[in-house]
Amino acid sequence: MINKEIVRHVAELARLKLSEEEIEKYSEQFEHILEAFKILDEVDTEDVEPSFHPLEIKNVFREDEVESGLSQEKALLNTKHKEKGYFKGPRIV
Amino acid sequence: MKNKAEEFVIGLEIHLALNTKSKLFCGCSTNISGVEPNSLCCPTCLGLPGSKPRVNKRAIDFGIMVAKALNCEINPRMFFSRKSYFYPDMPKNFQISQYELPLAKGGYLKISEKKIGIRRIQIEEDPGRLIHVGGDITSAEYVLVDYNRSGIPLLEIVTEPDFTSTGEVKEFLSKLSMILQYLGAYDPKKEASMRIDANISMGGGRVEVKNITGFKAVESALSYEIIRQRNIMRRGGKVVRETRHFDPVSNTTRSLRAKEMEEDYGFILDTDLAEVAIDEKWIKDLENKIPELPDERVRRFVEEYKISERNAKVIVYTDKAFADFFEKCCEIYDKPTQVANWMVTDLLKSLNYNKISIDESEVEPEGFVEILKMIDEGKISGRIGKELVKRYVASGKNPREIVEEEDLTVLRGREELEEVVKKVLKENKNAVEDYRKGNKKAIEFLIGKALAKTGGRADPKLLREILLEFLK
Repeated sequence: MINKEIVRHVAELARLKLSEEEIEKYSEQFEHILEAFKILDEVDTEDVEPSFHPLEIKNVFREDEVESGLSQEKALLNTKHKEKGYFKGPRIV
Repeated sequence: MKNKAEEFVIGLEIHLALNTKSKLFCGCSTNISGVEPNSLCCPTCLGLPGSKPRVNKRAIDFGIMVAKALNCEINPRMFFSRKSYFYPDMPKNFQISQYELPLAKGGYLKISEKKIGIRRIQIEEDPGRLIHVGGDITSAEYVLVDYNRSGIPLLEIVTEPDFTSTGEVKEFLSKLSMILQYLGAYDPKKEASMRIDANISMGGGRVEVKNITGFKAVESALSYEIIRQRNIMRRGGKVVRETRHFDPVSNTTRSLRAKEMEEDYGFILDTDLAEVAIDEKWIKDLENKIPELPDERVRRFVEEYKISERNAKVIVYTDKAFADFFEKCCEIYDKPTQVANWMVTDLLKSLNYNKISIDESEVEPEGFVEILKMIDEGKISGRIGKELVKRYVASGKNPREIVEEEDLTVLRGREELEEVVKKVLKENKNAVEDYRKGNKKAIEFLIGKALAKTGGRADPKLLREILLEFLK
């Protein structure tokens, strides 16, 4: 059962700020989504190999060779949060 | 006093930077020390939209070799997974790691007669480096981020909670580091190349200590944490389950706000990356490339060079270059026991005193062996030999040259030594009397005095001969 607590928790993990109305609304919608996916439980997968990847490809590698990347200037081009060649970010805890 | 309730067990999560030239999922260089921040990055390790990871094969090769060396079972199919979290050190908001099917599991590493279990080994990308500005991890105003480190391949090795002392942890880590160095998979000189999270459980509580960088910090962090927990229990308290952060400046740990539980990381398989299928042939090919490892080398040193096991262990476990040095010396000088004895005593002491390793010093096998040869030839005394080792390590100056320039050769003129002995007897009447009263050990004292008078250049055997004659 989806309750408001679960929605709050998920929102916090996703760093979303939700209003009380939104929490109410999403609790209901979460329930519908899970309900819809329950259909999958009806499929018998007893003797089916688990699938980990949509494509059956394996062992795609790159050799250990150095390639040139971006300059510092280019790396920082898209942000205004920068200082002395570093990106600036929020405190983590 | 330690009682039963205060017994503890420790488990480790060790992150080692793999010694590849390029990063795990892109071609950026891993040679990040001393370069400008964010100058070794590309769209992939900056997590820009649309960029795709491409797996570095050498990182997998190293992982397989380490897993084999640690007696692990390698999963025939492994996958990369995304671990979601929102720290600025990972700009795409997930770290590519492993979860459901990691590289390997179920191995062990033996330390002095005890096996430490290895629960799992996985490959993952390193996050960026954070600098906390205006405070520490919990009080900073903001952080500065350098993504040069982001994407460097890490091997995460998770042990069972099998450690019961900090000594065992130290021994394990030094052995592990040594094995990885022999495999060429790890370079301890690279900055922050070994990072550790430790779980310490005492009296039911389990505390995880994060942010421990390098060997020495492990000891401080664990010692602090054990004392802290013990004190809580002695006051009748209970150790709460939590995550703590180690501060290497104050050598203490402090509580971090409760972090996400494992299921909150929302692990999903990374569909940008294909399955890695590891077959027997791949493993065999790599096994053939695994060189002689430290334990085997100790055994060979004992058998081949007939040196004591104790010396062999000290030589091998000091570091790889030190053991290589020993073998080079033995190639040009046919007395392994002498070489070993001098290496584990005087040479090691001088290196430690100068805080350098053998390959950082200017000491060469040829020069070191010269000292031993000069002693064999009777050209210098053992005492001068010791002095020469010290000076060779400190200055790098060729020992034979020092001997020639400063005239440190053994004094052989009997008359000259007789004069010295006469003086010593006159100045140490008490010792002479003791000797005559039957305290035969007094002669050692007199020999010491006479040696000192010649600046260590006299041949002690000859001195003893002369002294015995005079004391008759």
